[in-house]
Amino acid sequence: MTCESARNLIDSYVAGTLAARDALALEEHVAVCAECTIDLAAAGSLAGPVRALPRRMDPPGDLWPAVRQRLVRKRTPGWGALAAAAVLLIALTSVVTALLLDRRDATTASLASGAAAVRMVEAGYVEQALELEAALEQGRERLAPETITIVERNLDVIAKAIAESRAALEQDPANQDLRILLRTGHEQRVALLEQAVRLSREL
Amino acid sequence: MGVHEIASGMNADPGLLAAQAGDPDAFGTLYHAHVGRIFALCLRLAGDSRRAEELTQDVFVRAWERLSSFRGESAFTTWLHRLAVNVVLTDRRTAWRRSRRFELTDDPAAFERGVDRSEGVELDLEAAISRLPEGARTVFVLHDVEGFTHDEIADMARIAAGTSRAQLFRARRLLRGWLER
Ligand SMILES: [Zn+2]
Repeated sequence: MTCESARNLIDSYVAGTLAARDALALEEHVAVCAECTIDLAAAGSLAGPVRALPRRMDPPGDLWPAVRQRLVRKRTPGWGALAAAAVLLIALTSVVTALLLDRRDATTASLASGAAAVRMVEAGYVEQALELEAALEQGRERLAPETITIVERNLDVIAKAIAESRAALEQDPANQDLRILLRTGHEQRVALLEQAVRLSREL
Repeated sequence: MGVHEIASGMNADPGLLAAQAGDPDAFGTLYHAHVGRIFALCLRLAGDSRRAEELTQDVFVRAWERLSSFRGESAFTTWLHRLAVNVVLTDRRTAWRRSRRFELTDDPAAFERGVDRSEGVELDLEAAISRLPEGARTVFVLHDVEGFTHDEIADMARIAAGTSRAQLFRARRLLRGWLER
């Protein structure tokens, strides 16, 4: 037996949990090894006193008032503004898409060019959002539950706005205003995700 | 997901749930249930009563901030103790860079300020522990007193598990030498 493997057995030997065979092997080594004799004796003589150490000690003064004062719910600056922006976005999207669709020039609408217009606007945003969502997933447990709730609620709102603008643009692919509206939705989503990721890394 | 998923995963301790939901009074109950053990841990690791008081406060403030990340996969006590060790060791790393004040922590008199002097036998061992060099003291307290494994200590203290073992045996030899005098 080497000193290293002997040392690994010392604690269970002292605790009396070592199998008889291993215990014999350890004793055999210790009988001829001065170093391990010292280590075994040290472990044996300390085990009792260490067990007797108090597990709890009261601090000299009451620390709770000082702790309590520092328990401020962390406000997350910017969430309010972003949430309001998202709500405004969906309200605007509904009204604006209705208005915009009203003045659409029916001759420009075709299914193929509608999908192409959407793709052109969304290029890049979708990948960016996916990457940010993955980053957020990693940092998610550092965020307070109510923060997660706010982020998710707002992502929902934005997703609805995006879906609405996208459907409108598909019907009216030449409409420049609908493109802007769809792009704004995606920008909002990326901004919200970026802020959430940044926050999860700061914590 | 969100609040419900977090809540459903853990032992439904209503006090813990309320504290997680942001109720400071519920957190106060948790504080009072655990402060004795956390202070003892901080005191033994820091070796200085005043510093241990500051660290104990930091531990509970940090616990409050991180409470939402506690999913109940381990016992709350285990989670809190790991968090406490992390706070103390992180503080030590940054404090050591800032100043050299931890040179003072090998002073046994500093330790005794936080200990009831009437406890005769324990005091001798406590005083001896506080005299250990910092590395050996950290490993001894975490392994022999708190029951962490060498792998856990290696992880928390950012050292090799072999180093942790070597420090433990060094600590025990020193302690035995001092206590037998
Ligand atoms: Zn040996």
